[in-house]
Amino acid sequence: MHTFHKRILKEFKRLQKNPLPGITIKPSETDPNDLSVFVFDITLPPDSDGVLHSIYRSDIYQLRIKITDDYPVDSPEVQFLNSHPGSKIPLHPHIYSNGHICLDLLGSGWTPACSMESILLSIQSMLSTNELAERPPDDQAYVRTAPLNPKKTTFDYHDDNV
Amino acid sequence: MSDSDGNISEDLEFDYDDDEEVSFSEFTADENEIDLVNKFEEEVYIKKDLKKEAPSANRLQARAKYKAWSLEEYINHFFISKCKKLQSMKLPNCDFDDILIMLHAKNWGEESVINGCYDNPTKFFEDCGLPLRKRNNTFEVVKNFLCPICCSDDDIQTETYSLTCNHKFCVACYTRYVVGLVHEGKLITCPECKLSIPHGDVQKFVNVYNEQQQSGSSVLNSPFKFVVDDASKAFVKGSPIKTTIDLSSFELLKYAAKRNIDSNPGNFKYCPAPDCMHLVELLSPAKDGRTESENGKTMDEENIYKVPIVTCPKSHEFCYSCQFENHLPLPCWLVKAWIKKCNDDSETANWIDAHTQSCPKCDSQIEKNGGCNHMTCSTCAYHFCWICLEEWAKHGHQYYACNRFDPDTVNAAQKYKKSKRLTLKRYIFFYSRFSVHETSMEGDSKTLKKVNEKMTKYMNEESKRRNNAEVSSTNSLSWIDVQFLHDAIRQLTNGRKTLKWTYVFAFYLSKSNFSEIFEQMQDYLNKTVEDLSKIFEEIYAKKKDSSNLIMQNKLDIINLSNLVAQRQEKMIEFAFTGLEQKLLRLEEEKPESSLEPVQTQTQGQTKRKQR
Repeated sequence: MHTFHKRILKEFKRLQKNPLPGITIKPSETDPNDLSVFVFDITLPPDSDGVLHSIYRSDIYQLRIKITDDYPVDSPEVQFLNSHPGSKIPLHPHIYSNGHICLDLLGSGWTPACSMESILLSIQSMLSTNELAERPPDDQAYVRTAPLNPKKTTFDYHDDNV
Repeated sequence: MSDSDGNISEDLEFDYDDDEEVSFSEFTADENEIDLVNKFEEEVYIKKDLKKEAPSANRLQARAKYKAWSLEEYINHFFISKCKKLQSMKLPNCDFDDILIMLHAKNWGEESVINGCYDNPTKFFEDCGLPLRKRNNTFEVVKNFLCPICCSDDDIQTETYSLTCNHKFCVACYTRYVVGLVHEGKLITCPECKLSIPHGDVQKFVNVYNEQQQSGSSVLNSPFKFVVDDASKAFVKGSPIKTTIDLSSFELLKYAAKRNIDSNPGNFKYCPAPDCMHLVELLSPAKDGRTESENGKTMDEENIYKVPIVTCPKSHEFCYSCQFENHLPLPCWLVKAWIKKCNDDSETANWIDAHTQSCPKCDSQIEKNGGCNHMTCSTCAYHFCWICLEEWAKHGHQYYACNRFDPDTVNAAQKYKKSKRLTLKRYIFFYSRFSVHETSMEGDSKTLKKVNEKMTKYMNEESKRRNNAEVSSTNSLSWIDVQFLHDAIRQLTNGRKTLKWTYVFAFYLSKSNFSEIFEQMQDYLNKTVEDLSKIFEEIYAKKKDSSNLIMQNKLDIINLSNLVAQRQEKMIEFAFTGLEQKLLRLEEEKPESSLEPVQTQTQGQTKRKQR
């Protein structure tokens, strides 16, 4: 069992009881005894401003959060999935086509006081504030050589505009 | 000591003194150069007087003027003294802790701290993560506390810590958090907000962690009791750090110092010995921190052959410019070439060659495992292009404009391969001699350790016997009497080291009359070293009464080790003078040109991948 089982359990229960608007946890993907992998369906919050004009308005994306052994001192492993039929990776200048996300919260910006909820919220806001339907400029090159685990990549967070 | 040797070396000195006059016309052309030489020689004498070098000190070695620093001294000089200076200026609303945090946040720039404090204190305090009201950092025991990090409420009483922001977390979680971040050498903030944890408190967490490690229990498993003694209570309650506490031992400051040195090395370099944390600062103006990256390009001939040998506070001897062992008489660029050559056979080196490139600024080996070609060196934070190794700023917004095919570089690659094959035989000859001495050096150190042990045992027995008899017999030895053994041991290893490198020197040396003299001197040194080594070998081999054998051979050992020292010094001096006056020539081209073909190969590979 994870050393911080209690914390993870608490986060899990909280997400089940009080789901965030636009985010549903898929309990079928989670082993309640293990609690190391969580899969979420993520859309824009339905009643927020500008959702009608957003490029992501009609899509549902799958996000996977893997809890590492050192969680919550260490950030979890987060990426979008396209393994299921019909699921795709959102088109975003900070999201690579293999599902890896360039977000400082998942790397140097992580502190143990952050939670899965804060990750979900910031990814959701990443999507809702973006208007550019494009991949990062180095997507092709990165995807070809990227490690399976997105945490093994050191991103350079230089673009705060999007 | 020995007359015969003195004569030989004097003869040799005359030899090249003559030649200096013959080639004097060459030198008069450039008077500045001579002036430079004279200046250096003056420095040599100053240095010798100041440092009272060991007998092995020689001209070349003494050329480097340097200062040895321990990390603690560095912290005291660059961090703490600035802090004290600012404290004495009585900045408004700042105690020692605050100033330390401010300096740390502003990369130890006094100016920006002073300006910040007076220009816009509110914003400046916020930038540095300092609270605007009075600091109120508290360790306290809370009943039925639910820590937001671990969510564990097992204990009825939990020890917690919070900064002025009052974000409470249990001490166990805080410790884990702080210990995980301290290695980055940056200020550590509250997990919840931007307030900085004072250095003293960080150290307390580190201490807790260390105690945990020592007692063997993991922070994770045992709810430990955090003892807040009276002294530390005052410490925590926001009273300024007492100056009696040794600030330079603070873990966070140590890592901050490392970070500071890594990103802005100046003339500082780490001692390359394993687990040695000391530094050396080069003071000689002829060389600065950048010369290494620029290699031969901007350095004049004079500098190319200079080997700045320095010694760190823990008396590890190394070459400042290439951070390798004392490799006299061989110049650094050839050491690099030689090591590379030797490693060429090994798979690891091949792999490194094929998969990594060295950072153009600091020479750290970098593997690219993904991402774009805009590289940021994690050691020195230099931005460069992976393909052409030029500064990234030059690339502007155009990606990979450096990708142009150049047939010249391909030809150079072929030429390089051919010449490599030709020199292979020669290489094997010298390499075998080099490696023989390297292994003997290891063998020596073992033998010498044993001899040393025996001698210590003997001395202990002797002193016991003397104590029992309570009569100071004139026949027994004192520790000073056996000091010669340590000196001889050091001398033998030193001599072998130099000898080892002379083979590499000879490998790169082109044939001439002077190269023959060099080889002859090499033979002399070799013979003396072997003789000395043989005596130690005999002592080592003899099971009983070896200490008597040592005493019998005392004179021989002293004479031989002096001879080794002399010959070693003469050898190095001859090599250096020879190079300086262009009587000896080293064949291999400068590192850039020899490395170039290798780089073009990797360029080709990357190019194919890219398209």
